[in-house]
Parts: sequence; C-alpha cells; structure tokens
Amino acid sequence: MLDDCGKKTPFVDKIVLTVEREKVPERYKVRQGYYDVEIFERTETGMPYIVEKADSDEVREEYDRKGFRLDRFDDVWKYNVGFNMLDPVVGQGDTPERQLRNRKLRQAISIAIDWEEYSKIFPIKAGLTAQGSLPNGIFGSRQSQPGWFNPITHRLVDGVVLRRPIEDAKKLMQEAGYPDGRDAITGQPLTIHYDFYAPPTPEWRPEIEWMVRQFDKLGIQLEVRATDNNQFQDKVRKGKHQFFWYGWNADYPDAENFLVLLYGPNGKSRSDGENDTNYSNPEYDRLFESLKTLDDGPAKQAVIDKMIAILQVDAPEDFGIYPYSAAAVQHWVYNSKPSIIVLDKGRYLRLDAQERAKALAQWNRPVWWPLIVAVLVLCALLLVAVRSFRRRERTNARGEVLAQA
Amino acid sequence: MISYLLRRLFYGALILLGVNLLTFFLFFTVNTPDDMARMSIGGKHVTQELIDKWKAERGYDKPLYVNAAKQGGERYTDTIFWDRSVSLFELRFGRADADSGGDIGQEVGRRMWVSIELALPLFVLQVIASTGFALLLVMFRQTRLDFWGVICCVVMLSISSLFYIIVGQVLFSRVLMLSPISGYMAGLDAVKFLLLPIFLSLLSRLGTEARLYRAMFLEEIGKDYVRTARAKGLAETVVLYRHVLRNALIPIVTSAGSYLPYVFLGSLVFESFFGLPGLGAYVIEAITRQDFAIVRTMVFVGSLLYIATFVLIDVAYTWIDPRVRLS
Repeated sequence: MLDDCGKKTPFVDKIVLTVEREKVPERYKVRQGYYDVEIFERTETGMPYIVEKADSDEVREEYDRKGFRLDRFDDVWKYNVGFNMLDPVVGQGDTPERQLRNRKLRQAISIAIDWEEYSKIFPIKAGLTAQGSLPNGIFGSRQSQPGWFNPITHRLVDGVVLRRPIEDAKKLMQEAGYPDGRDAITGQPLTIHYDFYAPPTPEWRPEIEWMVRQFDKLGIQLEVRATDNNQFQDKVRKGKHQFFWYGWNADYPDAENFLVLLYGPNGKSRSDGENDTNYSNPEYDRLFESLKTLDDGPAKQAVIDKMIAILQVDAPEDFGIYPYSAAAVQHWVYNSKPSIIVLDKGRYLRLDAQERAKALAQWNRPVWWPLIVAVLVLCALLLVAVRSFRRRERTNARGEVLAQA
Repeated sequence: MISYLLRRLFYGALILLGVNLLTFFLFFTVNTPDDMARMSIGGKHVTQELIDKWKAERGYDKPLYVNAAKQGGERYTDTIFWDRSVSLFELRFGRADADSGGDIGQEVGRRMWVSIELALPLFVLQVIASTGFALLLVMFRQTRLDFWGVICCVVMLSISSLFYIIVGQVLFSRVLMLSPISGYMAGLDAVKFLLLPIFLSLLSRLGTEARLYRAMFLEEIGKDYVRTARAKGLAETVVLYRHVLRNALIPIVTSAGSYLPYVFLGSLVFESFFGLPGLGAYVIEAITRQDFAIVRTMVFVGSLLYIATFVLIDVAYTWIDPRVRLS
C-alpha cells in the first residue's frame, strides 16, 4: 500500500457503479472477475466471502487460485442494544430502590445476551464482543488491552476473559425482584418489548429469534415489536421504545464521537439528539464536557476510563459488538482497505488493467460442448419423431405399413 | 361494432377510475405522506420543517380526500386525490417522489424499450414454442411420446420460475460461461444479456401453456369437421395445421393475448434477477422506496394496457372467426 505514497491521486480515470438488486448474480460476477471491488461504500462486504471460504474446500481453492483479497480489519463502528432510560421497568427508575432494581435487571440482561455466540451463529455479521463504548483504533479504547474487560458481564478465568455464567444473571434477576423472570410481588411474568427497526422478514427473523432466546434464559418474555425504520424512529422520538437494537458508524476518529451517544442533554426523546437511550447521569455528563477540550494524553485517558466504568455499571446499553470490516477485492486492485472513516477511498485505488483483462479471459472461457450435445440430442429426437409419424401415416387400419408413394 | 367498442371503452374508463381510487386508498392506508417524506429524506435527523418542505414541493401538503378548510367544490378538488387523479387521466405523470427519480414519463419511455426487447421476442417465441409443442403432443396423442410429454409439462409447470432463474444462471453463466449472469448494455450488445432471460422465461412458461393448448387441440380434434376432413383423405398434418389450429385459435389468442401488456410492462422477477433496467425493475424499485408517484403511474399504465389488450382481443375474435359479431 505504501508503494503509492506521495503520488498524485486519483489513480483511476473513471469509477463505474452498477446497482445489483440480487445478491446471487452480484457474488457470481465478483467471482468471475467482472467487478473489481464488491460494493464500494460499505465495509463489511468481504465477510460472506470469508465465511464461504472457511466453509468449503472447493471455494477456498477457487479464491486462492484467483487471488481474491479478503483481508479482515477492526473498524470504528458498532452494533448494540440499548434500554430506554425513561421506561419505568428497564429505565432509570424514579426512587433509589427502583433505580437499583432496574440497574440490576439491565445488568442481568447484559450478561444473558451472549455476543460471542452471536458472532458464531451469524459469522457474516461477526465482530469483537465490545467490553466498553470505544472500539479499537480510537484513542482511549482499552478493548484489546490484555486483561481489560467489562466486569459486569465478563470475568477472568485462568487469564482468559469469559462471559459470566447465566447463574450470575439469574442472581441479579432475583435481586432485581424478578426471580425466574416473574415479578416477586405480583407473580406476573416479566415482559419486555423489543423494538426492532426492520420488519421481521426472513432475512431478520433468525436474529430476532436469537434475541428472544437470550431473554428466555432468564425467563423474560421478549415481545417483538418489529416495524419499519420510519415507525421505529418515531417511537424513539416519542420515547415509546423499551429495549432496542441500534448501531453507530464513527464520523471522526475520536472518543467524543462515541461517548456523545450517552450524553444526557442529547436525549432523543427529550431534545431530538443522538442519545437514543435517553441516558442521563450528571457525573457522566460532567466528564463528557471536560473531555471535549482535552487533547489525547493521560488526562483524557483517565476521563474516558471513568466514563466507561460508569457505563459498565449503569448499563444503559449492552455494548454489543464491533463488527469486522472486510472487502472483496480482486488481485489486480491495489490500495484497498475498507474503512468507515475514509469516505473518498476511490481516489486511492489503483488497477492493473492488463492483469484484469488477462484474468477475465482466463476465468471465463465458454464451455460449448454440453450445448452442442443438447442440440444434437434434440435433433435426433425430432428425427425419430418425424420418422415415427411418417410411418404411422403410412399404416393402414390393419396395422400394415404401406410402401412410400 | 363501433357501439360495442365505445361501450367497452366507457367500461374501461370506469375500471381505470376504480383502480386509481383503490391504489390511492391502499397506498395511503399503510403510508402517510409524512412516512414517505421521512423515507425519502432518509437519516435520523428528519425535522418536521424538512418533512413539510418535502410535502409542499411534491403536492402532498393537502388533505387526502376532503379539504375541510375549503368551501363548495374545492372541498374535493383541493386534495391530493383530485390533483393526482386528474394529472394521471391527462397522462401527465410528473416527477418521482424521490429526488433522484427524475421525470416519470421520460423514465417510462426509456425503460419501456428495454422491457420490449425482453418481452416481445419472448411473446412471439412463447406462442410458437407452446403451440408447436402442443401440436406435436396432439400429433402423437395416446402414444408414449404424448404421455411423457404431458409428464414433462406437469413437471415444468410445477417448478417455480425462481428455480429456473437460479439454476439457469448457475449452469449457463457460472459453469458453462455461455452468457453474462446479469446486466445490460444498449444496442446490439443487449442480445448477449437478453438471450438467457428469454430462454429461461420461455422454459418456465412452456409447461403451462403447452398443456393448456394441448387440451384445446384435443377438444377440437374430436369434432365432426375433423372426422370429415380425415374422411376426405387429408394428411394428419393438414388436418392439424389447417383445420384444428385455426378453430382452436380463439382460446389461444385469449390466453396468449393476456400476456400482451407484459410486452410493455416487462417482468418483475426476470428484470430484477437479470439486472435489466426495464419497467418491471422500475416498479420493484419504486415499491421498495415507497415512491407513490411511480407506483400509481405504473398501476395506471398497467390497467390501461390491460383494457386496451382485451378490447384488441375482442376485435381479433371477429378476424379469427367470421361468425363472431360484436354487438
């Protein structure tokens, strides 16, 4: 990649974007070399190819032979779930006792949602299980620092960070007043609404059902309220959401861009900001305000550490995952690295057009013989039919075949 | 005949009115103009000001059916329904709701040719192949060829067209590399992109059509005039092609004619899977984007074509069978 350092960009004359409605032809065209890069503006498009490659020896052989570049990177984006802190059951709570109960309930749910399992079941969407609010690559992130983890959801066992057992979550449920997922006073089962931002199409259903199973571990009934994004955003604006899925792509590589998502004055339902959880903690807000003026350094790191620690305990969101970025790129494409932050990546791409032409001709040689065989078989069948018909035409009522006139 | 045609055209206008009302009602039952604005503007920060501006620019800032703020006839004419309906009947399709959508009339005019390139050869080949195959089966009726031919038809019609598409794309494009898997280029280059969808579409409909036509031919072949023709000593091919085929044309024209609107409207599934920028793909894109301006236009144009087709079919009856009188 550094070979082109200092050279004048862009390296290509023209970028042609083609809209493909169907995934199957799109992937085949990549495999046949008709696309240099699959999906230009997204960063995770290489993941299905990586999964396919891992699943099949035949595919692996083909990808290796063709020299596909399917490198995987950490990136500065996240998918997670959050709680509406204005909600009486999972939110902040109006009395100290209620606040404690609700916090324990949120912590229990955060333990139960097994993101390590999610990455295994949905490998195309896999990522690093988030231990805090900052992904790798952002100053202040301790995500990949050995021995650092979210003590509420994980623990250290023989030097390995593991998710806490479900028994820990059940204990928290009991302390929250919901033993076995039932209200200790009324005996009613605890029902939580899952506000999902897309209709439950077959594409989403497995993930939605997976989430229902996570709550089922605690005996909580998760009622799915899947709507289109318009209605979902409307619910969030009105504060009518309870537990929900959301995500964030960094606009710029600074901790502020992630930590702002939980800054109190930015509560979406109150002031139409970006804080979908409506979380508000005076100490966190004070630290965030001081963070804004700090340069990267020990002082900023200390503030970030305090903020993350507050979030880990308060659990207004379950940190979810930092999905991997991976691009599907042909071997004649240089300088490709998927990144959420770099929006003008097209200017850095360089192509070896000669190599592309050579590879396309080599990979896509037509195979004609099956078609020729099929046509010959059809002709033979037709010939037999014609002869049989003529014979029938010359056959009289007694079954005798008359000589041709 | 003229009075019959005028009456049919009058009924056609009523049908168009009904279709227009139904489309409008159904669309705005599941969608409000505010929803459309939010979806079109996109993103999380959609303010009410932006929504109001979007609606005003596209004429969605009025009430749907009744404007309570107005008096007299304006209560009904100063509404979205009235504005949209009048422009449709004047064939002024306007602009798409999406900013990038452009002029609908121009887009329909451009995309219609792609659909015609796909559907016209398909329509002609479909009629020839289905009729030819059905006649072949009838020619060999009550033989093993007929038996296996019918089995073949049943198997072919039982398989979803999606299966033909997916298997066809894998076999012809991926394995044999004989054709591009999808895409489109204008001019003569279009041929190589159209061959596979035409062939697969033909194959997917062949079973249904051939079986239907075979039944029609068999019904005709048992009639007295056929026995008379045979008694005259005519060859079986002459009996079939000159007498049976001609007399079975009315149901064939009815069945084949019903596909005629698709010559212009294209195929939703095939255009989508093969990446052809025709009208079928246009509709799918519009539905996905909830672009009401395009959806209502396409439903209206579709209805118009259906009405015109069925009037044409009625007229064709008089040409096929001189005994038929339209009154």
